[in-house]
Amino acid sequence: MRTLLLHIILLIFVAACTNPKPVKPIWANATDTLLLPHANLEFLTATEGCKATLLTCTQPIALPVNYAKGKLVAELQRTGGIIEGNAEICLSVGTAFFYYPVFLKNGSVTKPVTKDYRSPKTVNPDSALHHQRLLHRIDAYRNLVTLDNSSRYFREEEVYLGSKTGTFRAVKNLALSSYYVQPGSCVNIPLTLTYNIVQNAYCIKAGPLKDRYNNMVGNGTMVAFIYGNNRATYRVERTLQDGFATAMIPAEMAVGCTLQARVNETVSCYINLKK
Amino acid sequence: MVFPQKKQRSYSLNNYYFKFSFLMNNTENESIWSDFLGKKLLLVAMSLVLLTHGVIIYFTLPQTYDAFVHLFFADHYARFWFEPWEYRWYTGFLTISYPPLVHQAMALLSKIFPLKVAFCMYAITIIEILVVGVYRFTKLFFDKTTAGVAALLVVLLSSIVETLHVYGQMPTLTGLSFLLNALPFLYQYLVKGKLLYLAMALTLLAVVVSSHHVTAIFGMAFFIAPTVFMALVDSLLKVPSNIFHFSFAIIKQGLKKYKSLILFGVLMLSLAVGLIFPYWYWSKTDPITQVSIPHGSRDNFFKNTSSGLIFFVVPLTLIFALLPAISYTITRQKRFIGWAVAFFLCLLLGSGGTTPLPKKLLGDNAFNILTLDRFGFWASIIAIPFMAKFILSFVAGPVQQFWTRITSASSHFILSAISGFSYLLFLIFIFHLSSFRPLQPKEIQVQPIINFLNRDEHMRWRYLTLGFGDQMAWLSSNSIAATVDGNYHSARRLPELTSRPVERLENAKFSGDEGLASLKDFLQNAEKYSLKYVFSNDRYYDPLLYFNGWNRTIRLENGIMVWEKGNISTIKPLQPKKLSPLLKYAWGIIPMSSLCMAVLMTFIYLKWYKQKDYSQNIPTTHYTYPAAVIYSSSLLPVILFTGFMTRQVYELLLVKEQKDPTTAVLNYFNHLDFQRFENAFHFFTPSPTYTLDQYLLEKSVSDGGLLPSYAKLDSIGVKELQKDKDSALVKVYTRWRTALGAREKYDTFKMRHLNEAWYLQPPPFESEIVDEQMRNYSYTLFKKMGKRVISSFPTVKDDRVKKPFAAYKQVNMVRHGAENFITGELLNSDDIPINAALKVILHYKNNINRIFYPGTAFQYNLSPKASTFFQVQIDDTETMDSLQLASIELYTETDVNEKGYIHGGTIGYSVTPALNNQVVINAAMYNELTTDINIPGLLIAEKDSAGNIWQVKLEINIKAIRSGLSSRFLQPFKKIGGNAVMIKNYPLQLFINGQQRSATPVKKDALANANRGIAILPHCFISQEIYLQ
Repeated sequence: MRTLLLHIILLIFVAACTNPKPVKPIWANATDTLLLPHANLEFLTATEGCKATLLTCTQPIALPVNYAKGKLVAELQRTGGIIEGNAEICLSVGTAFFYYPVFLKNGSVTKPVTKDYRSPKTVNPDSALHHQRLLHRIDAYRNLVTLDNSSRYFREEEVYLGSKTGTFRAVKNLALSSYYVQPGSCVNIPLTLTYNIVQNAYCIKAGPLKDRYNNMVGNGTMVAFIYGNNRATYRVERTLQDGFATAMIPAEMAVGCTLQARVNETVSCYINLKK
Repeated sequence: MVFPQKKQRSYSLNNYYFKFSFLMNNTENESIWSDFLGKKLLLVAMSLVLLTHGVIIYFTLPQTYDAFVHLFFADHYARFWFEPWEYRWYTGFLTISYPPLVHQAMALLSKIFPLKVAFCMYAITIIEILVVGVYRFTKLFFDKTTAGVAALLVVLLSSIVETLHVYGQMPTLTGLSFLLNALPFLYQYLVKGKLLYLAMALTLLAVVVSSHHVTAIFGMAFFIAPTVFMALVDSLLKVPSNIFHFSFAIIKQGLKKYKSLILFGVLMLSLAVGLIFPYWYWSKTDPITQVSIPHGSRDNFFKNTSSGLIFFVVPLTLIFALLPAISYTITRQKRFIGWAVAFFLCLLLGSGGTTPLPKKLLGDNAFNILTLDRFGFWASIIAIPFMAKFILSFVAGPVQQFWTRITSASSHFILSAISGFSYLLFLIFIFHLSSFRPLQPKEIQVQPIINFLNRDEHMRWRYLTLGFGDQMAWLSSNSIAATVDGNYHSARRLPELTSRPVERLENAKFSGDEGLASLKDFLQNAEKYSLKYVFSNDRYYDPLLYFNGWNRTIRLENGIMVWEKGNISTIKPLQPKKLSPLLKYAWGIIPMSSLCMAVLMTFIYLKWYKQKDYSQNIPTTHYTYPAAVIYSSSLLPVILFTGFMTRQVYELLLVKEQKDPTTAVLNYFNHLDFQRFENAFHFFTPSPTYTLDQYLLEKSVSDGGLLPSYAKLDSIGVKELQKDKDSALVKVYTRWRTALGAREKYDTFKMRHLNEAWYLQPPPFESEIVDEQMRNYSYTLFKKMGKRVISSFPTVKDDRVKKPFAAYKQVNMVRHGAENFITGELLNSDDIPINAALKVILHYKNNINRIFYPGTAFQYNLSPKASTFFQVQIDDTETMDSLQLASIELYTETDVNEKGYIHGGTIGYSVTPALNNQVVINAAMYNELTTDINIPGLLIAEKDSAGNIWQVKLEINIKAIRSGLSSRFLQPFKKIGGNAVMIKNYPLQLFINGQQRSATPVKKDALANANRGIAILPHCFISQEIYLQ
């Protein structure tokens, strides 16, 4: 027990020992704005084993360091360009960290490109045929650059689209800039009635269903064929395929009935089912 | 047979202890061996634990009731040791609601071993400690040899086997094993007054408190109090024979030892409060206020024999078999009085609702909260020393001598062999109880579900399991996704759960109408809980899911069907219940420290302080068994166990299922309900023309509807209309529970009596055969293409499609008596199929907002340009008037949906008037699809002459319609038009996808006007997944 107590006391002593705090290195060639690519960063310090990191607004970049004549030199020369903005140089020794705020700026604008950003958009001729786009420019390091002949970074425009249905791309080879023009609602429902002797059934065909811009109405649109007489009412639901919907109605159930096709509020004329 | 005289029928147990002949042959070494016989038996018992329980536990674990819940808690501590907020169940709860030691110990083990292995290792360790505990506990009563037999009994005791392998109740076993180890120390402390014993007792009791609060609380009454009493009796120099003198002497002795008693009491109380203080804090600040959940242990075991079997017969049969001997021994000495009271009280409380006494003793509240089987379990533990005493005597003591004397040694051997063999068979039956009477669904592979949850950010929503049993907790243990359900009832706080006697949502069908109502609440109000996915292992729930707007998404590799609801928001950040960091650290550190302290103290005690004369002050037992006790306790085990096993074999193989017409019909429906079709077929009159093939064929063409494919038999009544020697005519009433409510059916069967058995005559089969050899149908199927960029960044999710357009064709607020609802018609005005979610918000004047969602009266999925009627039930008139309604908002969110827009076949209908404002809809449905319509349904709207919708209802037909066939059915419909009013004086604002909209002017519906104001849309459930419903 006595030995154990001695060990515990020794452990407490060992735990109580601390290293002296390192002194903050002095930035010899200090500046507010780092223009990249830049000369080396020099710090006066007696402490060895320092690590240097450039903390930009988006990522930390480890900087290679070396010591020469009592100076710590962190190299920035290999960095070609960077996302501009507020940043910090961080020197660390063990658990001690020292921060030096700077503003990062690239020396020149490199290869600016214009971006035409359009949110994915589907338009329907039943409502409106226009689309918004956002124009802006970025350089090779993804910094925003002012638009031509302007001090603005962004320009918003409204683009009017054609009425032809399809999938279109605002920017070539850029899938994200696609927009879609869907067909609108049908404006009328032509009906064709034939009698199939073999099956003893009426074949009702609705179509072609087109919108007001003469686009074929979308596949899958529900067409309800409603027929009846004073005894019963029947409802047959069919989906549109390539502008047409077809229903076979057994003749024994439908003789003498009147039939109408409906797509939402659009209705066909009534036809009498006769052999 | 001539019985010996009464006086001669008494035998001293003490004289025979050392004649344990089956273990000792060398008489010279008898005295040496006998000292260690107890320990030898203890070692044998501990080895047997490893050989039996150790081998089997990994395989019985998935079938247990509670093991997975404890594994879930262990997983919680493995992930978040110092954070008691568990977000994965019930939208979040505090784990301080259950003592943590067991779970934390398993969590530590799980850092090295897989969780299930960690559980098994922990369980075996605890059983070993229990064996030692019982050994030490028995030494308080009898000698070491008896204690050794008691230790052996632990391995084989049915109540322990059931608690471990059927219930998986590790905290109970942990608490008990440490409690039994603590009792001898407490006894020694009170007798000898040494503080070391007090320290040891408290250290071990600290583990009990940290493991299981119920054991700690009731252990005080049923174990600690009798121990204290026994210690006081043993401290008396002379035990008075007169009961009044004895009582007086005990009180006097208690007063003499008041310091020791108070010290123990105060320290014990401090430990009980301090060790799990966060638990008591939670109990006080967040008390349990929920409707009691029915539990089989509270049943009347005569009325509900299956509960009796599980909670009384299985754990306590050996106790009943040896009850004469136990009763005799436990009442023989005054030092056992406390134990006798505890034993009989536990036995009585363990009998549940069989008698009114337990309810009167515990009070209504405690009776309805506690699971009473634990009392029976404790009774069996208290009985162990007394059973061991008799068994030892029976095997190698005076009882053996008695049997040998009055019959022969071989007769005694045969009696012992039959008793032992039948008990072992009984034990094997318990081990395989879950096979004979399935308690859980078959094991589900959780990995495919975890993979599903991990991909495409599915974890951003909550999920629900259906038909998983306790394995839902195992799924939770393996995933960080959250579910609205859970498996720890005390922590539930969601009103939908606490207001109904529902155990879990996942097994709602077993809770009857209340359970399904609770499940329906969650399925309808899914948005409220961000509930987007349902993993279904039971097709029983399919109709409920479908008609409440859920769509099947994918069937996983393990056969689990994933259902999804559209337009559900992701989980909103929820603030955990605030708890002081101090309490969190206390919860993480103190209970585990109690175990470490117990281990350390035990080591110190064994190393330096253990006395060889541990039980020197325990009085030697000198008494005999009367012949009546010997006879009854020797023969009852044979009678009970062979009787029980014979009954099992009889029920399995020899029961006459067709002895009379009623029995035959009942058994036929029983087989049918459990889908044992071959067994059911054998109830039909044997005939070369009616084969099994024919039966199954006929069944296959008439199956598939709500009954019986999605129903469970609830009750059955059989009435014999006519019966003679060879034939009978019976009428059968069946009530079926379906997810959409109860359904009743009447059938009539002709029966024949052949070869001493009653057979059903196959009902005449009217075949409906479609003329065509092959049918075809054109479907337009859609595929949602999803993302354009492979990225997990949420904002570009589903970036190919926009929010589809929808429009209100009309919206009305209708008041019909006390009921109020919003009715209307919604149109998919887009070119793509959509899923729509409706939500009604009532704004009251005192800033109270109440949200309502549609139920089954709505088609949630619409093909392009399709429209649906809808009805949303809102607050009743009284609530609305008392809270003063200010305005109503109706929101619709739409999303592209590739599934669920095929609603059935062609419908035809005519409407005829009936009495009391009723109409009868004569409906016909023709199935032109290439699949069966499993549950034909009609969405019926009542319209007035102007086209306004007054009410909307879903009506379903129980019979499926096969492809190419049609079905006719009559549907009565009660109209409300004349009795209801349309309320226009509240502002009703309409929104679609967040933007304010208005309804289009209502137009007259000529079709409805021609059909007495009835408009109908098909709304059917099709079970085949390929058709994407």
